[in-house]
Amino acid sequence: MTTKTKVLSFIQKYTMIIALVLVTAFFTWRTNGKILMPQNITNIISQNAYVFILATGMLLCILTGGNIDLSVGSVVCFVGTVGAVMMSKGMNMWLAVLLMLAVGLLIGSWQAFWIAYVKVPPFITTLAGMLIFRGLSNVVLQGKTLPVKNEAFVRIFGGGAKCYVPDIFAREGSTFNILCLVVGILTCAIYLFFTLRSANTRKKAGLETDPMYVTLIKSIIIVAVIMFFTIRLAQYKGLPMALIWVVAVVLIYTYITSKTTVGRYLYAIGGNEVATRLSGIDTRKIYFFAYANMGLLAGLAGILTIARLTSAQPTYGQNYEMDAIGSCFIGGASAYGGVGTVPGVIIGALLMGVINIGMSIMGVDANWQKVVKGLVLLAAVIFDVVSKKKNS
Amino acid sequence: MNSDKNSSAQKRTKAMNFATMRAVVAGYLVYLGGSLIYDYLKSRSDMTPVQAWGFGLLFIAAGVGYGLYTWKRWQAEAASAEESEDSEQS
Repeated sequence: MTTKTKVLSFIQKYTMIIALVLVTAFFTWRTNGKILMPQNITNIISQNAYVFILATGMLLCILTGGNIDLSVGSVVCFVGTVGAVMMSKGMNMWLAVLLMLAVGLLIGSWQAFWIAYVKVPPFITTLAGMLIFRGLSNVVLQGKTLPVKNEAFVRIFGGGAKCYVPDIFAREGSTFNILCLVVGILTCAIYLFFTLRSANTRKKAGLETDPMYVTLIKSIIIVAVIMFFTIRLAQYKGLPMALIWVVAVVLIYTYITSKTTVGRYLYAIGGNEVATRLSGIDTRKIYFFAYANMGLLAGLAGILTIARLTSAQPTYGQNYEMDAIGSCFIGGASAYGGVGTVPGVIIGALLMGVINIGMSIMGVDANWQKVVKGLVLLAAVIFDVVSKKKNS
Repeated sequence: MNSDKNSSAQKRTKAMNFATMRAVVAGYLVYLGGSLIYDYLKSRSDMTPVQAWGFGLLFIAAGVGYGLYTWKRWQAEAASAEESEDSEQS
């Protein structure tokens, strides 16, 4: 392999990471470094927690062959509405959380049934869901805002000033969050352990591995990035609760998609559904899993949304589906299905989050932000039309 | 024979998935354009009239155009999937 090919393949492999670095560098320059201030890093995590979670669920749907779920925004709103009503009637917080997750799963299963077993196209099923659950939220709330007053709920699931993991190592007079630093160091140690173990296993099995210096440089860069953000978070208030939920979801779904049979089946269906079915796999169950799971994650996003905004409103969750779908495609998921990873999707969501918050810090009017979004979409539309013309 | 049918059904489903995504993008462009004009009319925008109307109409026109393109392309792709099924059967 020549150096030029190596560089090209490197750029191809890490396009989105390079884009994320460039966009962050651009906003760091334009905002005089404000975007990397501890509070803004916390804001990027808290304000985009719902995108990370919904995009992870959406990836599973997209993997099955480019199918999308248009109802997630409305499900987020409806689940939030149910939770807010239950808690306003004095229901125990944990019971309400379980109920909200159950409602999300039930809605997901209902839609999954029509998609997987009755073969109603996902677009139609979820479009119906989008209208039904938005309407139901309006009916329940009667167009009004219902406040969420349960403080413990807001602290555990929210993104406000008090929503941080308590520092068990805190010392009097010190504002530096030691727990955050400990978690950061542990994360780096775990990352290094798994990287070295994986390299060792591949070497023993006689598989192709990166040269040691490449692994080392990669590890040093990743550890440096983790430590930079850890120190930034520790300088403010430590680990935001939203980060804990996002990390839990990301770890669980990275494991499911890369290490489990169900995960392999998702990729297989997206690659060739007929071949998958003919090889004896019940594809209906996999479709059912993808959409039921999307409902469950929309339920979790609903919990985080009402906790962050400390209320439920019939307008919550609007365009959330666009954020989730956008993150998936930006993060490398294929519209044909069968291609995409959870970490890739998270990078896509992060890129969108950095652009949004960067423009907000720059004081760009919300309407100009819409213009930027519109122009990006226009570019994608032109690319789609032109590439079709070229192919034909 | 059965797998041929499956393959053309798969083609149709894929075409429909793409059409769905294109329709979503077209709808979103119309929504963006509409909201730019709406916000301007409600005095909730920093934009000048030329900017608000210019970008608003541009996005609406692009959305509508892309919607029509999506509809035409979907019909062509569905017809080609059916044709391939017919030719495989004969």
